[in-house]
Amino acid sequence: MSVFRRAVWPRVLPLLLAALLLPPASADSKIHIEDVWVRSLPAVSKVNSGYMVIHNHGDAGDRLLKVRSDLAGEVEIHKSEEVDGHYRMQRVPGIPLPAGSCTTLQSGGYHLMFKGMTRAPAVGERVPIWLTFESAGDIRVDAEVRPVGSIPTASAQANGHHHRH
Amino acid sequence: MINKGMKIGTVCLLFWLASFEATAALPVLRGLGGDFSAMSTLGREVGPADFQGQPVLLFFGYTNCSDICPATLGHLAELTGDDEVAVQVLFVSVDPEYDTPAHLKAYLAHFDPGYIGISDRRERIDQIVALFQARYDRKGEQPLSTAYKKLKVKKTDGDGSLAYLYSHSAGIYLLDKRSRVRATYFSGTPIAQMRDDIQALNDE
Repeated sequence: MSVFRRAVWPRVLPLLLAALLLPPASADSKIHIEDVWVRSLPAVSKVNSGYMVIHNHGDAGDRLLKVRSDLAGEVEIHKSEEVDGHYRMQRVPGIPLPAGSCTTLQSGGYHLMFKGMTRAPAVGERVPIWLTFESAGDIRVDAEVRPVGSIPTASAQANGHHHRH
Repeated sequence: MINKGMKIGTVCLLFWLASFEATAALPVLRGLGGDFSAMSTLGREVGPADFQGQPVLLFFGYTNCSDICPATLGHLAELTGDDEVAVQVLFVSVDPEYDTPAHLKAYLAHFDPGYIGISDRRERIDQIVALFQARYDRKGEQPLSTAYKKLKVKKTDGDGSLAYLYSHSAGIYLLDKRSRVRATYFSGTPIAQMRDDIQALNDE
């Protein structure tokens, strides 16, 4: 009995824990989300942004419609754009996710805007976010709080390497 | 002997061309920048005269900007985190009503305590914006612009102050030791390029 316990539990326990801790991914969901993160910002900041990669492996398009998180009073879906060296950001009603597409929410492009931050999460913390999709319904993801630092931006990719005026 | 002389001559020519190239790579961008004086997070007014002898990276933003401004600050923090890179970062707030010097100081310190924020009366900010041929828009003041959206941020501290979204110039300006603009970057400019340019200006 004791031999059985010693041999099996170390293998089974991590699996059980993982099953309990991982977000409940519905087996038939065609939406797959990865690389979910928010930036560590100071406590004086009342706003923040969220980023992720959303895959739609399905044969039909879907749409990200709504987001909520305990981290902020409101979470809106925004899009930043650089037009002639001028950044503008606006709220969008949702993010279209065509069939078979991969959509990156990143700085300078689509992103989540957290308004009215309730607290400043610490680096390394994982913060739950609930995403509502038109077809796939509600999916919970855990955003990793990352330190400030250089990150790829949409404009960096669009511009190739650099431009100097 | 002639060969040797020619070789030396060629080497000198190459060096001369190389030095010419270095100067040509960072020409003075005339019409950008100029003198100003405005309240800063140091608790006193600062202007280009305070930074004579050191290169400066200046850009515009505001703390309620959730995406591009922190991305740019994080990008620069990676650059200035290298002790070898001698440059002063100046962050000019286009939302001075919200970004008080104390608030701005606490915000910038999260990225690098050495960064200096500038926040002053709107007219003074506008003067700096004009000097650098930058621009910004806020809803309600410039109804023709299409780029921004006013929003009221739910404040948890109950002070009732309003926050706005702005659209603003994305450029980062590199000023040399005499406060002349020598290059402009954006939030995605490779760190190595900025580091090399700053080094070149420090070596001048």
